[in-house]
Amino acid sequence: MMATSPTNENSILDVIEASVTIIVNGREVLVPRSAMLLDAVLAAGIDLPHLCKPESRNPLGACRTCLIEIEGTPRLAASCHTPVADGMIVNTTSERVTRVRRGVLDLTIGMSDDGRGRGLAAEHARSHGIEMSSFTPSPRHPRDESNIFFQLNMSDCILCGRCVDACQRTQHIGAIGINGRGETARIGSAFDSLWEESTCTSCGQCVSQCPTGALLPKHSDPATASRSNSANDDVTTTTCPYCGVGCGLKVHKSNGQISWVDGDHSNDSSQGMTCVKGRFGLEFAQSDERLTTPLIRRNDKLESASWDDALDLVAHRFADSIGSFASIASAKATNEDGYVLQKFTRAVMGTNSVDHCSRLCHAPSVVALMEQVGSGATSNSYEDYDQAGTLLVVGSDTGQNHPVVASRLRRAVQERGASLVVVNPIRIDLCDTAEVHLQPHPGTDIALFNAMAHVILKENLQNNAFIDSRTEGFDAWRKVVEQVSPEIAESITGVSAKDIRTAARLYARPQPGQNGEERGSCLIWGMGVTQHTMGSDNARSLINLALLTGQVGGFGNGISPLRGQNNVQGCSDSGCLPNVMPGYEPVDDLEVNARWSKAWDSDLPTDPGLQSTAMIERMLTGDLKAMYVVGENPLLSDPYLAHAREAFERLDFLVVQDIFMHETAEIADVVLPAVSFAEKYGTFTNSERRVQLVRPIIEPLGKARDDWAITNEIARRILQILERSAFGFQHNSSTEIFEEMTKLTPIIAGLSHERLEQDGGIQWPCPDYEHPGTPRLFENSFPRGRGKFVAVEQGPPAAELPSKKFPLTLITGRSLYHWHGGVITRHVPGLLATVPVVTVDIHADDAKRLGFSNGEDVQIASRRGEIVAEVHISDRMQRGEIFVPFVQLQGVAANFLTNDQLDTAAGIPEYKACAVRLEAPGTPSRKGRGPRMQRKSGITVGNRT
Amino acid sequence: MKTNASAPLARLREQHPAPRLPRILVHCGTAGNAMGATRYLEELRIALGDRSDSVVEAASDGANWAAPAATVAQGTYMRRFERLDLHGIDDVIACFNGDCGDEANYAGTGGRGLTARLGRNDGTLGDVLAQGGYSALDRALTSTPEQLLDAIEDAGFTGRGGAHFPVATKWRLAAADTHRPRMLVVNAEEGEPGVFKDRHLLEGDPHRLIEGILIAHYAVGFERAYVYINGQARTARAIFENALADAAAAEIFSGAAWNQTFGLKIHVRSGAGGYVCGEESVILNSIEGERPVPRYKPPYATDRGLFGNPTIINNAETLCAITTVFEKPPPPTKLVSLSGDVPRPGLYEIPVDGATTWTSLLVMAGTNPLDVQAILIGGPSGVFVMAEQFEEVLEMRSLGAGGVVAFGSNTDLSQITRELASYNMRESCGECTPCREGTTRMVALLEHPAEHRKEIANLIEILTEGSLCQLGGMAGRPIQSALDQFPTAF
Repeated sequence: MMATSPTNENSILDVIEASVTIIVNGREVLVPRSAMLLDAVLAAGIDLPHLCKPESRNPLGACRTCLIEIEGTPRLAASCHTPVADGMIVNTTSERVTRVRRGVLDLTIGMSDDGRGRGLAAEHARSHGIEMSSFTPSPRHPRDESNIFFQLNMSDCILCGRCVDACQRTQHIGAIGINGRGETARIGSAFDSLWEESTCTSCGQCVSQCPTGALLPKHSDPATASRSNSANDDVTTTTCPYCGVGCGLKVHKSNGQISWVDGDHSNDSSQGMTCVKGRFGLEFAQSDERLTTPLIRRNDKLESASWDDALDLVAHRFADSIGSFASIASAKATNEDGYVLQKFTRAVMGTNSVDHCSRLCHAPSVVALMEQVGSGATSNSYEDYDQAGTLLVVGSDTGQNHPVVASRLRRAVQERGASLVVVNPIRIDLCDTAEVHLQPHPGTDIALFNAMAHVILKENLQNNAFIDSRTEGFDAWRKVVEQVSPEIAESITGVSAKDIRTAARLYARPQPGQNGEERGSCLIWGMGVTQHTMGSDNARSLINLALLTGQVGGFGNGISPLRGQNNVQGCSDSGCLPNVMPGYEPVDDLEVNARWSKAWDSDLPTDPGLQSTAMIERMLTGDLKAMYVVGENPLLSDPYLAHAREAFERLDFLVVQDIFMHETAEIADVVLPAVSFAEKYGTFTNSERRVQLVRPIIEPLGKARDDWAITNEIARRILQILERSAFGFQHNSSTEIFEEMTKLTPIIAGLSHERLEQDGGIQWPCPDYEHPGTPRLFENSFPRGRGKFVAVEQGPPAAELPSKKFPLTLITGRSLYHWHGGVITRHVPGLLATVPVVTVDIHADDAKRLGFSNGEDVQIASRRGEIVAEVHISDRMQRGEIFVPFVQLQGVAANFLTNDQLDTAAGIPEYKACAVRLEAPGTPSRKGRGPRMQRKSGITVGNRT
Repeated sequence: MKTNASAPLARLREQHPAPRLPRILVHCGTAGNAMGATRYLEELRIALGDRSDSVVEAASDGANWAAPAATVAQGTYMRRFERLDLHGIDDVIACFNGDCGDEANYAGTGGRGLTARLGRNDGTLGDVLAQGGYSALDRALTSTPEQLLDAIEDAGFTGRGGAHFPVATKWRLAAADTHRPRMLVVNAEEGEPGVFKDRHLLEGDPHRLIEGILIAHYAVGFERAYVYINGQARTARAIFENALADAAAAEIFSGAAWNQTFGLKIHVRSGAGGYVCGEESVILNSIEGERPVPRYKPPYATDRGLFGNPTIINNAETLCAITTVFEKPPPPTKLVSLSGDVPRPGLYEIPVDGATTWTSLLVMAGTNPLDVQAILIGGPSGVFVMAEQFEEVLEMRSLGAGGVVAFGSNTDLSQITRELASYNMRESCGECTPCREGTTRMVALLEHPAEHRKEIANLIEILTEGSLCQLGGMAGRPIQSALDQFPTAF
């Protein structure tokens, strides 16, 4: 697994072997053999113009401003796309080359409306002695200001094509191109429609590439702006706070304000990309509405208080609540924050009842993965998506939830000929690129994947060697899937047997690469798999497919549950789970308990704690009296919100620690202001297990403090009250905390902040300082030994099925322009303006039948509540199914409708299917909303055999 | 021309017998139809009554000036009757009946060169085989690919698209790369105004191109061939596709007729419209479904061409000419599309043998060279040749793609120059700054050329040195030529 490090002598020889020497303006320059002349010229410290060359990407060769003279070559050459050759002699300053280059720059700035050019074009022209073009200005067509975040001004455009390259060949969106030809060429979208009407997702990759400022963020000053040349800005490299992709950001700050975000090209997870939220969604950190002072409830009102008062109150009340306390950690906060919180919960409060939002997203994946392979993490890396022959994307609207991963998937299809198979009841954007779209009815995944396995076995496409040497339980499982023919599955799922066969063949026999090389299949899944009462069984049926074909642990294959929050992986790794310590060591293992008890100088509990969904029930029974909720908003994210609120209101003492006021904080007894990602130093761990640094961009707002520091202080005060030693809570910095974590957690033992500063993100396991990190798990074995086939059978598709009164199935999920419940994105004006209200996607036939038209308000009612949303007729939906994002906008949130029935193994609620009806707004709810739906304990869904 | 036919070729000829003679070929096709040739097809059929099936439709033989025309084939004797609109059809019928007068056979059968059958066949495989079709392929199959490449090299074959790169050298570059699928792209775009050779070849002798493609395939071993035909040449495409279907049905294309498996897949694509679509790398983008703009080089197509694979791009004429490689000696000929102020505009296959001059070309076209003040070679990327240079001996290199336009003494050459500049502006794809902006600025400067001599010279240099592809790179060439040759006209 470990790369042998080359000896110094070897590496020097390698460098010489891979290099060539060329002579630039009389000076020798050593450059890599694969370099272009422009690289060599710039390496020699010569400031040669180059306007169209995108960073870290192939040249475009369009602007022709990097012309140089090569000795022995009659014509001048564009250095950006001319490869170096040993002994080449080039000149950038001869009279001839300067004259021609000046001429090209003269033509270039002649395209602007005042003949002076903009941004880098003007700068380079000036460096060649031209202030003003010798040609009469010939500006191009008008402005397009329809996009909310940025604008296009064609009179500043030099048609270098970098924006088009960014849209088409970096992000693979294809919203813009060059329309027209010759002198009528212009940047635009299909049919010259407005930008807003195109397929643009506002990722801003185009803006980041524009050398002149023709594409400009709306709030920028056009006089000074040129995005790829904001050299005077203060730039901080950090990790995106939104989804679990873990994009590297270069955050620019001018006059103390976050002014612009570039993608970090050196980040292996994002390769210079961001989505709209990473690019334009960081404003929240400097919002006026941030919490900046502690609040204490007095006379039923939350009032400002000093830290000292607040912390004392919290410490005393928590000290009184030992035995009836639980905490919820934040998957938004850092590993260091999570580590201190779980340590506090265990070592000070004496309970393992610490959990976080992965309960509501990938708990079933973890349950299934732990059972079948012995580790809950994603097996492979994003780079495997790049190399795969088939990409099977199940229950993930990747384009909305993990936009940058979606870009990599599209790239794999469009540039490398991979086959994309989408399994989703909704016709998601990614289907545009897919070879096959399987559109099963919600909750019928098990039948579908069992049938795929059936086809693979029937057609003898399974990997026998892998099954023999790496798995167990095959024969018993085989008997189950042999019963599920594609025709039977068709009758359950609504997916044609033909498509099931095609998908099975593509997964088991991925397309070879362009040079005929063998390639693997990646299995990628999201909440559509897990947020069901049979979520764990869904995940099992998928993992069985990977075991059957051996598509795991190798180059270009693997099994990846895509993580929803920036640090949901890290929060789990750090031990914010009720059953395991940091590094996934079971709390009930006595040896584990002894080791950690010694390290933390306390008697740690061995009983597994409460899962977050179980906490709700314990609040209602009165067993749970005090809660410490950090960076979470359960009263928006929990299902059946009316019920959850009732439970939280029964608590004796609720502490919420966050950056904004939200539904849960509103009913808290104490609210503690934490700093945002933009003010802290620490680490996030992304969906491919890459531990990456988060660096402070701005000073903490008001009195806000680091989450770890607040928890640490609460712990110290409680320990003082309890007259115990505060030995374990002497933390002074996140770096110290990380040191402690790495010392005690073998999977990250080789990491330190210092190393991450030096090397960038590293994927765990990384057991020692020499270890390069691990892109692929399970290459030769599984943590549990053999991979285990677990037979699962299709049961009823949901706990609550459509009925006469509630005839439609509601599916919830995310919207690209909001993040999660919207606590953060509601504080980003551009995002809020893009999606200001909750919408309901519905098939045209259903809308017609029910008499609702596009844009109209409609009331959606379930057995648990009603909300009003705006009708959005969409070909994304099948008949009988509607989609509502779960973001809360203007007080409307889908989770008032959803069902709190749980998957028994993982404790996840069924967000992806509940029965609803549509009615005119204002239709009265049933009297008193009736009794709470009867919970049936023995419900049989997705029974294991 | 039946030369040493192998058993397979003989069998093909048996299966596809030669047409019955005598017969009358009416030259229709794009050029003939433009002059109403189909009318005479009908008239002749009515006149011949129960022998009407001896009147067959053929394409233009290149003598566009002669249209509407018909050719009578009598045994080894052929005679063309010109301008039927002026002379009627009586002489044609008389000749068909054996009375052809005493005028000489104008071309005869068993001709040489790549126009030997042009427009003088009825498009059926039997006719083509009878006139020597596929005999070069038959011969090539008796040698090894290496011997074939040697023969092409020894014969000194160069590309006919304008750059005159040695064919064997180019083919060997791709033949060596056996690890990847190799692609052949046949460039029949001919977007250059005044060039119409590929249309004639495709309409008048499509099997010659198919034969050339198969010879190339035998030498190199392609996986796929793409024939990229000018988007407006719909007739040419239809005739070519019919011929392809015939060659496939006769098991020529698969190789089965020779008990071989060629394994070549062929695709026909229509050009995306525009002069720039004739540029090699633009064709690649166009076939791939991308915007038709050029790619920078390197990488060269032989290394990373179509869909990233090693690709040979040959002009249609080059592949047609390859079929003459076994003729002794291989004729060093070039097709010239001659138009403008001459009595006999049309397609000429001229020997590039060190004896032909511009004068001889003009004489061929029925003009007195003294009536011509200049000719333009190579269209909007070309140069002017003035009357005093007409005695220059023609070379392959000086002919470009073979477009020649003659200007009589009344033509305003400065206006022609401005029109060429304007054409380049309209046809610029807009990808690179020098060409997109430069050609536009050039048109403006040429409004008052005398005042902008220096600026024009600078702009020519920027276009030539700075442009991404040769459309821009050569857009200054006719202007420079005009300034050199007739500076006083401005």
